[in-house]
Amino acid sequence: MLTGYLYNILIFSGIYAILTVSLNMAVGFTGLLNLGHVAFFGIGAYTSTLLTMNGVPYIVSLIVAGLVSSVFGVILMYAVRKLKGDYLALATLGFSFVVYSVMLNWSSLTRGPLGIPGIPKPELFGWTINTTSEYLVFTLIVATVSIYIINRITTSRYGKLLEAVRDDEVGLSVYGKPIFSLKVRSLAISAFFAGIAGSLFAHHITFIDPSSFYINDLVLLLTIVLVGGLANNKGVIIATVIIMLIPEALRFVDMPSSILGPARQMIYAIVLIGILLFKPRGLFGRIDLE
Amino acid sequence: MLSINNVTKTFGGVVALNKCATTVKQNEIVAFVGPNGAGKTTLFDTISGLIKPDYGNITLSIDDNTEELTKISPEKVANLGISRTFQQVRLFPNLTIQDHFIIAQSKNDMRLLAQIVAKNHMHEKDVPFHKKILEQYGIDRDLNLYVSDLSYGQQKLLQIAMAVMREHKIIMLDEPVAGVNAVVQKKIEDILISLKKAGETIMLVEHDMEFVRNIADRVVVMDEGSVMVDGTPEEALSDSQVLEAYLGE
Ligand SMILES: Nc1ncnc2c1ncn2[C@@H]1O[C@H](COP(=O)(O)OP(=O)(O)OP(=O)(O)O)[C@@H](O)[C@H]1O
Ligand SMILES: [Mg+2]
Repeated sequence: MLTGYLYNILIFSGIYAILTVSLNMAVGFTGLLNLGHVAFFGIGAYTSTLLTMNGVPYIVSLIVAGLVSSVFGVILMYAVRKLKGDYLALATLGFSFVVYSVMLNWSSLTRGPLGIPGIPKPELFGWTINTTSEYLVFTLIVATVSIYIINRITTSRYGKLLEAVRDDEVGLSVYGKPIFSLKVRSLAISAFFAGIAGSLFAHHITFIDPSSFYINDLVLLLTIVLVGGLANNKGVIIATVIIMLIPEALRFVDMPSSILGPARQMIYAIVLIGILLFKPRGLFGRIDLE
Repeated sequence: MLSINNVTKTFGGVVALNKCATTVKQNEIVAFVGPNGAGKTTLFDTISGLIKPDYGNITLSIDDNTEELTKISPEKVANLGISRTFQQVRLFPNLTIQDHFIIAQSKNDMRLLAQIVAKNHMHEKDVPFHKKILEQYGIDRDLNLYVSDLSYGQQKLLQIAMAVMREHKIIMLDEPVAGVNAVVQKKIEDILISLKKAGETIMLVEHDMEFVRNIADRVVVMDEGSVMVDGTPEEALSDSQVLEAYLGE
């Protein structure tokens, strides 16, 4: 029982690590203050759910979930191509709201607020991932591969170009580097992994509704990235685990569940404000939030 | 090689460039001089593709191939062989000196997949080369230092090093010695002299007339966005009108 509970926390940590490390690629490395990440997460979850429930093999659904999110990443970047900084943040936040309301209102596809229950457990090459421990293994594999790839990118020469876009895009353009293409690809890759995380999430809890992909999750993701430190993958992974564990500690405090939810949100908000005030570079970062 | 044809650019009511016209030939060192606000930086930015002119155009001819720079993006201009530095240093504060060299030097760094699978995807083999450049430019710092920790003079030197090390046809230097101390100024001037000896084509904005006399093959005097005088250093700098009105000598 306790191990199942621990496994669950670890599964969520794995899923969130993919989300935060991929978000960090756009926000921390490329300097795109993208507030649309939860939308990519949701698009991935719904895509994977709908595909598997219509008979598409899980491994295909997983990849397509990433790809569909990625396409939306490209579309979003084209839509906000003229915007920078706060304006880009606002526009991408708008994207989150639009996707949320589509999930809520396109009932024939998403069943709206009722959500979709009975999402099948993944089946991979004859291996049905049924138990929590199996799902943990699966999540850790996917998370490790995802984070490894992102880390490869951010530590490569390509990653240095992304950081240069963040630091001074005009300055970079005179070295012959295509700024917009760097931004598009960064957001596309970031969104791809958010979509992968969405698929993992959906098939783990086997029920999704739009409320799982709302702004409160966005606050959590941003808090984690800021605590870990912009452009610091290791810091963000550590922060993910720490922040996933904090609210769990609350469970051992005797508290009615009606208070537990809001209490979590409050803790995240307090951590976020605390970081912004006292440690604006996060626990492990060196990049200032502008 | 480079042909600037009646370029006009206004910002709101300010006429930054007014039918500005001149040319730059291969292996030539051309100094652009003129008072503050004359339009020198705006001209460089227009050549770089960072600013689109209201009228006129700029063409770059290499061998038999002519490109209209004013129609293409800054990255395309750069890749045609225009290298430049900025009057106000523009570097990437959270990257190291070595990262800067790699950015300036790499031509295939946009190949993402290759870099994900490559075994050794940074430029470790170039470390000795990068160290040599630091030595040449008199930047006595570690390659792994973040450039925000460099002095202003060192940042100016690094900018020049980057512009020179990337593959180029023309180097544009916008006030390379402005704001640096006498030692760095001497260093930069020595570097420019060695670039001249190497046969580089250079466009230079420079206020030190003594140095301009020394290094430039031609001087273009600008005021209020137009070219006032265009000639040899002797011609341009002895023009009494120029001396009085624009150089305050
Ligand atoms: N982005 C801009 N917006 C508005 N006005 C501008 C802009 N850039 C330049 N100007 C104006 O255009 C004119 C030319 O400026 P420019 O910077 O090209 O001059 P400069 O010759 O480089 O001067 P300096 O010696 O001070 O560097 C100035 O009056 C300047 O105020
Ligand atoms: Mg200037």
